[in-house]
Amino acid sequence: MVENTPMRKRRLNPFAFPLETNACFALLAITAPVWMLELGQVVGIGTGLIQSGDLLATASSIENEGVVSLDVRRLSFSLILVLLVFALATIIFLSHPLRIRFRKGLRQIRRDQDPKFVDAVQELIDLSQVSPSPRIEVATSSYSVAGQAFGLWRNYSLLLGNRFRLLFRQDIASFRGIILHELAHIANHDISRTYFTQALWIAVIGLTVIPTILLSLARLSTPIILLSLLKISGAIFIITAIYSYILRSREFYADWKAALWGEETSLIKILQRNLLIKDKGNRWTRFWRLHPTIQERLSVLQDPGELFRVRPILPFLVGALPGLMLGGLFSQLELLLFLLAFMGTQLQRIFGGDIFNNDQNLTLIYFMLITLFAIPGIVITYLLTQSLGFAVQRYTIAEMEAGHAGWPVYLSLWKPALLVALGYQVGSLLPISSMLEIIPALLQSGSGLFFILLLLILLVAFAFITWLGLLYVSVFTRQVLGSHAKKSSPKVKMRLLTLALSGLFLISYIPMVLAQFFIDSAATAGDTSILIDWMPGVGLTEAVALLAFLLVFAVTWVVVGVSRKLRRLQCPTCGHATRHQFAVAQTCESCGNELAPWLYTA
Amino acid sequence: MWTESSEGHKLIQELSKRIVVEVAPEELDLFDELVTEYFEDPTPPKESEPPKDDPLGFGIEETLIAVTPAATAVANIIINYLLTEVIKITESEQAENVKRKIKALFRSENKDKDGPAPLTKEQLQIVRKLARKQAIKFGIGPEKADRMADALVGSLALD
Repeated sequence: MVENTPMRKRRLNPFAFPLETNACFALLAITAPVWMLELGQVVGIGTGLIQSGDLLATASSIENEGVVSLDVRRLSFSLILVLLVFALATIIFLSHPLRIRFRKGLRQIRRDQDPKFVDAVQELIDLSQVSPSPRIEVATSSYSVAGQAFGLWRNYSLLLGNRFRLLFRQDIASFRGIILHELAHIANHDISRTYFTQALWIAVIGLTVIPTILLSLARLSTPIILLSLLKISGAIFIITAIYSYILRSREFYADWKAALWGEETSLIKILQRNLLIKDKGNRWTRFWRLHPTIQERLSVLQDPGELFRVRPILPFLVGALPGLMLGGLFSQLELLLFLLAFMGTQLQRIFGGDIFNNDQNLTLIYFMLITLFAIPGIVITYLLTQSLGFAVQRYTIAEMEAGHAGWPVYLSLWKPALLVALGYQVGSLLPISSMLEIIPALLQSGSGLFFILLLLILLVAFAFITWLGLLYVSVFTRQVLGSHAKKSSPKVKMRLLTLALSGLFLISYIPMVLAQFFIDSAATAGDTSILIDWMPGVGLTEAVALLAFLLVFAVTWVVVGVSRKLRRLQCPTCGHATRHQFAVAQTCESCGNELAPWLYTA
Repeated sequence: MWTESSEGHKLIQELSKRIVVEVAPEELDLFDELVTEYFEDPTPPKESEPPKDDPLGFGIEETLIAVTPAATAVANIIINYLLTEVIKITESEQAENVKRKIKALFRSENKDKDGPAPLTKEQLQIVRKLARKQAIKFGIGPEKADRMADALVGSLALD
C-alpha cells in the first residue's frame, strides 16, 4: 500500500473548467443590440424619423377597444437600426485584418525568404495543433519583438515584430514563448470573439451613442443633457471595463496554454526581465488595460490557483449587463403592450368568455408578463450562469483542494451574490429612461424614503436569491465534481449544473425584475396604488420560485446522493476501488496517483 | 562624401561584416537586410517604446538591438575619420590613391610597399574610442561595444 500523500505539490489546471469569459463575450454581444434599442428611439425621435409613442393612448385603446395599433414605422425603425448595427459591425470585423496590416506595415514572410525561421514557426504551429496554419506577417514599422494574433475564421495571422527573426537567432526560448502565447489565443478561440465584440460596440457607439449625445446637446435643456451624458458615460464605462476585463482574463489563459505546451520557463524569464519596466498606468486606467500587469501574469503563471478565485469585477459586471439590457427592453413598452394584447386575445379565443373582465384580470396579466419576460430571460440567465456558475465551480473545487469545505465556503459566496445584485441595480440606473433623475426629487418627497427602503429590500432579496443559486452550485460542485475520479474533465456535469442554476435563476429573477419595474413606475408616477395592485402577485410568484428552488435542491440531493452511494470511487490509473469519499485533493491508496487527474497540470 | 557612394558602401559593409562575424555571428543570416535597413535610415534606434495595448498582443514590446546596424554605423564613422586623417598626410595625392590607401588599411592581402603607413597608437586609440561611442549610441551595451571596438581595431593594420 502506498501512503496517501495529499501534501504533495499539485498545481490546478486552468483548463479543467470551461472558460467563463466565453459567456461574458456573448453577454456583452447581446447587450449591444438590446441596449441600443432605447438610444435608437432617442435618435429616431430626435431626427424626426419616428414619432414618440403615447403609451397612455395605447393602454386606453386596449382597455376600450381590446386592440392595440402598433406603430409599424417605429418598430421598423428599431429593427432597421439593429440590422444596420450588425451590418456595420460585420464590415468593421471583416476589415480588421486589412486595418492591422495597413497600420503596422505588415509583409508576409514566405519560406524561401527565411527557411530556418519559417520552419521554426511551423514547428510551433504543429505543436499547438492550430489548423490551418496561420500566416506569418512581420511588421516593418518597428524594431520590437511584439506579437499579435488576428484574422478571420480559419484564416488567421500571426503578427510578429520586425526584430522577431533576429530574436529567433538570439534567444530561441523567448521566440518560442511569445509565438506559443499568440498561437494559444487562436487555440482558445479568442480571435473572432475579441474582434467581433469590439466591432459590434464600435458600430453601436457610431450609430447610436454619438448621435444621441449630439442630439441631446442640440435640443435639450442642460440638466437633461447632463443626466443623459452621465447615463451613457456610465454604460460605456461598464461596457469597456468588462471588455477589458475579459481580454485581460484571456491573456492569463494564453500564457497558461503556452506554459502547458512547454514554455513556462521562457515566459517567466521574459516577464521577469520586463518586471522593472515602470508601470505607467494608474489605478483607474488599469480597468481599461487589455493586458494584466507583468506582476499579475507572473503570479498566475507561478500559481494558477489565482484563476480559481471569483474576482469581484466579474459578478458586478455580469449583474450590470442584464440591468442595462432591461432598459432597452422596457423602452419597447408599446411592443410589450401589443404582445400582451395579442396574448390576451388568443387566451380569450381559447377559453372563451371575457376572462379579463373579472377580479383575476391582474393576476392573468401578471402571468402573461412573466411569460413575455421569460423569452429574453432564458438567454440572459443562461449566459449569466455560464459566467458566474463556472467561476463558482472553480472556486469551490480550489477551496476543496486547499482543504476548505462546508459553510465557510458557502457563506463566503455572499460577496459575489451581493455584487451581482449591486451590479444589476447600477446597470438598471443607466438606461436613458431609468429613474436616476427622479431620485433627488424622490428623496425630498414624503414617500421617498419608502421607495428607497423598497429598493433596498429588493437589493437584499436579489442578493439572497443569487446567493441561494450560488449555494446550489457550490454544494453540488463539491458532491459531483469533487468526486469525479477520471482523467478527463467532467465538462458535461459542469454544464448540467450551470443549466440547473440557469433554470433556478430564471424563475426567481423574473418576479424580481417585475418588482423593480413596478417600484420604478410607482416612484415615477408617485402612485403607491400600483404597488398595491401588483406586489402581492410578485410576492406569491417569488414564494413559488423559492419552493421550486427547494424542490430542485432536494431532488438533486437525492439523485446525487443515491448515485454516489451506488458506486465507490475508482482510481483512474490503476482501477483500485478507493475508500475516499471525494477525488479532489486525494491520491490512490494503491498506486499513489491522483484520484482527480483532470484537475491538475501534468 | 565618398562613404555615401556605392564603393564606400561596399567598404563599410565589408568592415562591418568583420565586426559582426566576431561579435554576433548569429546575425550573419540577416546581415544584408540589416545593412540595407541602416543605409535606408542611418539614425540610432529609439529607446524602448511603451507597449501598445493591442487586443490579443503579447503585452510586452521589447526592442531588440541588432549588432549589424551598429557595426555598420561604426564602420561608417571610422572610415570617415580615416579619410580625414589620410587626406591630411597625403594632400598632394590624387583622390583614387587616397581611396586605395584607405581600403588597404583594412585589407591585409593588399599590403605592399606602396601601402599606407600604418596607424599610430594614438590614432588607433581614437579609432577605438570613436567606435565604442558610436556602438553605444546605437544601443549596444558597454561590454559588447568594447568587443566591437576591439574587433574593428583588430582589422586595422598595426605597426
